[in-house]
Amino acid sequence: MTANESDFIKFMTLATLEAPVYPNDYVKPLNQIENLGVALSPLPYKKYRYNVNSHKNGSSSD
Amino acid sequence: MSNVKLAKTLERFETKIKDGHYYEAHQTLRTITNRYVRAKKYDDAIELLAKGAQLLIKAKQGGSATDLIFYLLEVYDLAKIQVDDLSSSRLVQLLSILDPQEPNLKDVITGVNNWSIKFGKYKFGDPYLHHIMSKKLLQGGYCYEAERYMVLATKDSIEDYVNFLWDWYLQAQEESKEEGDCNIADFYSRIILNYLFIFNIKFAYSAGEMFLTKFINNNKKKVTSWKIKKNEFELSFFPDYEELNFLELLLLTCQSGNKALFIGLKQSFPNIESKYSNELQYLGQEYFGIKTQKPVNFLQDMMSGLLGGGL
Repeated sequence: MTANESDFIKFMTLATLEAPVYPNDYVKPLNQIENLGVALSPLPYKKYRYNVNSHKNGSSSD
Repeated sequence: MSNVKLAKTLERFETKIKDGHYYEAHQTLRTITNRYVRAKKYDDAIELLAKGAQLLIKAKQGGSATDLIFYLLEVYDLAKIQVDDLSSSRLVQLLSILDPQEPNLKDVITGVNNWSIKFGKYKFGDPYLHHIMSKKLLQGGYCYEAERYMVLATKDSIEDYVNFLWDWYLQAQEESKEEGDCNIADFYSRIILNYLFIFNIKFAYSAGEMFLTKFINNNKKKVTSWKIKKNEFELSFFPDYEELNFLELLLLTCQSGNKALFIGLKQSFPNIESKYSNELQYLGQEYFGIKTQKPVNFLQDMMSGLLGGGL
């Protein structure tokens, strides 16, 4: 077990000691959303090129 | 169609289009629609505009077609048409056949969304329309605009969002000169953060897992990872991708509502914390009630004191 892994496990243990405030399937209804948060910075890569194949049948090229 | 007169108008319109008289057809339809609008026969005007735009799109007359769509939205506004299955599906039909390269695409979509904000129940627009609009925007090359709508769409957009970011990652990886130039976490973080911002834990998990599965199963790159399970939670641990681990723990921490843990997480990953400082500040405020300290303006404070707090 690496040091990172032991920290990761420790963190997970602490976070899951009690039942979460927001369960795994929690969704705030969109009609109650007042803020969208922070606008994320553009990615530092070349512009995305639309890939017809990956959006045809809902599957992507791995 | 119940209205015979309307049916005849459309028939004439269709004939003109078939004969290639696009301009004349467009102008005639506008003139007749104006009459309906003046007489407050909004249903007829709407039907005429929707069918007319459809025929013009099929005839590859995008400019004239989008002009009619804008007019249709104007009539929706005048007639105070609410967002419902009928009013939305009329627009969806038009959007779905519109050429993604149409120069007015972005404006049409903004117009549709503005209408759905004004006459629907969602502050940022209708989620069902967002799903369709994001697809079209992505095809048209407007990826950030598409992303905004994907995040605010229905569950049907989750797969689109993952595929889009994954494809972009593959493209960026192909173009990067050296190994490590392309950071997988740059892509994964968008899923986790965007969904956390709107308190959509379910979609953050679904999309996040789909994305990480693609990363793990990606044949071109050997990725070491293993699952760690605690209670009902299961996360993937990546010994070589600290930022991915951080983002997974961030989602878990926001769920937990444990403020001390959130502060601890930031302290444990100082380099990553500084990269996402604005985003973490927002999440701290929303999930843990951590108020952000505004920078002190000494001059304003001094003047305010002198003038009895009037500033």
